[in-house]
Amino acid sequence: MSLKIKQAIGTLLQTFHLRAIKNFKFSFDPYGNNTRSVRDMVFHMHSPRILQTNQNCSMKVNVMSDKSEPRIDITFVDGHKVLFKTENLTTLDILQRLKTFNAEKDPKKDENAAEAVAATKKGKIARKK
Amino acid sequence: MLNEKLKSTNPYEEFIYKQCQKMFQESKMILVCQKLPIGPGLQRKIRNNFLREGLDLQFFSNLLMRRACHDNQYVNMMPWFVGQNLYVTGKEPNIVAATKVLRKTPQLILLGGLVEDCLLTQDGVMNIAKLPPIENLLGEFVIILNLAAWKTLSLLGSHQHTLAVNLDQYIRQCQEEAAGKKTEDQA
Repeated sequence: MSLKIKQAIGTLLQTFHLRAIKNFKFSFDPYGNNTRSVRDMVFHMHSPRILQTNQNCSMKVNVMSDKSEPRIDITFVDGHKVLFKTENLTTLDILQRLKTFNAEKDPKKDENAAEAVAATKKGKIARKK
Repeated sequence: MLNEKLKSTNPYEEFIYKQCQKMFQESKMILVCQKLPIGPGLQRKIRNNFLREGLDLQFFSNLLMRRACHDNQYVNMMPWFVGQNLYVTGKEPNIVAATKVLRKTPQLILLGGLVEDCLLTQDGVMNIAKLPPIENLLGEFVIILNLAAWKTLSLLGSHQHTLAVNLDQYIRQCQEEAAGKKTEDQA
C-alpha cells in the first residue's frame, strides 16, 4: 500500500465515528482471495477511539471455511441495511463510502452544524475586535 | 554482480528472518490469529498467558513470512499473511491449551493453523480441541479390535454356559423341594 493511500486512510479515520451505525457483521474466509480490505476494516473499526464514539455499536466477526466471499453487513440506526462485498474493494473505498453514509445518517449532524456556525460567528467577532 | 552488491541487506532483517525460519523448524504448532488494536502492555499480558501454558505469542512481518514460505512445503499458508497477524507457536501441538487461552482473549481472532504439517481452518482447530485425550481413544480402539474375538469366544462357549446355568437352577429347585419335604415331615 503506498504512503499516500495510508495517509488518506489515516486522515479519514481521524474523523470517523460510529454514531449512525447500530451493528457491524464481518464475514470472511481467511483462506480466500482478497480478504485484505475486510481484515483491515476489522482492525480499524475495533480501534479504541472509534469504539468510544458509540458504545452501543456491536461488532461480530465470522471466520468462515467455505470459500465464501468476504462481506460486511452494516445496520444503521434508522434501520437501513448496507452490504459491502469487499472482494474487489480497497479499504479506502469502503471507508469513503461509509463516511458519506455516516454524514447522511448522523443523529447529531444538526447539533454539529449549529456548533460549526457558532464557532464561525465567534471567530468573526474576535477578528472585528 | 554489481547489482547484487548494490542490493544491501539489512543485517537486523536477516536476523529476524532467521528467527522466523527457526520458528518454522522448531514449532510443531503455529496458529495464525488476526490481531485487533491492542497496546504493548496488553499484548505482553496475553503473551504471558500463553507462556504459562508452554506456548508463545510471536510477531513477524508478512513480508518475512511470505519470504520464509514461498519456496517450501508451507507455500499454501501464503493467503493468511495479509493484514495484522500474531502467531501462537508451540514445540508440542497443545491445541487444547491454546484454544483455552484464545477463548479468554477477545483481542485475538483465530484464523487457522499449521499443526504437525497439517493445515487446519478455524473449525478444524476447534474440532480437534474438543476431541477426548488420546489414551481414551486408544482404549476404545483396543476394545473394538478385541470385540470380534470376544464374540466368537462367547458363541463357542454359549452351549456350555446355558447348560451350567440350567444345572445350577435344577440343583437349587431340588434343594428347595427337599427342604420343603423336611418341614412337612417335622410338622
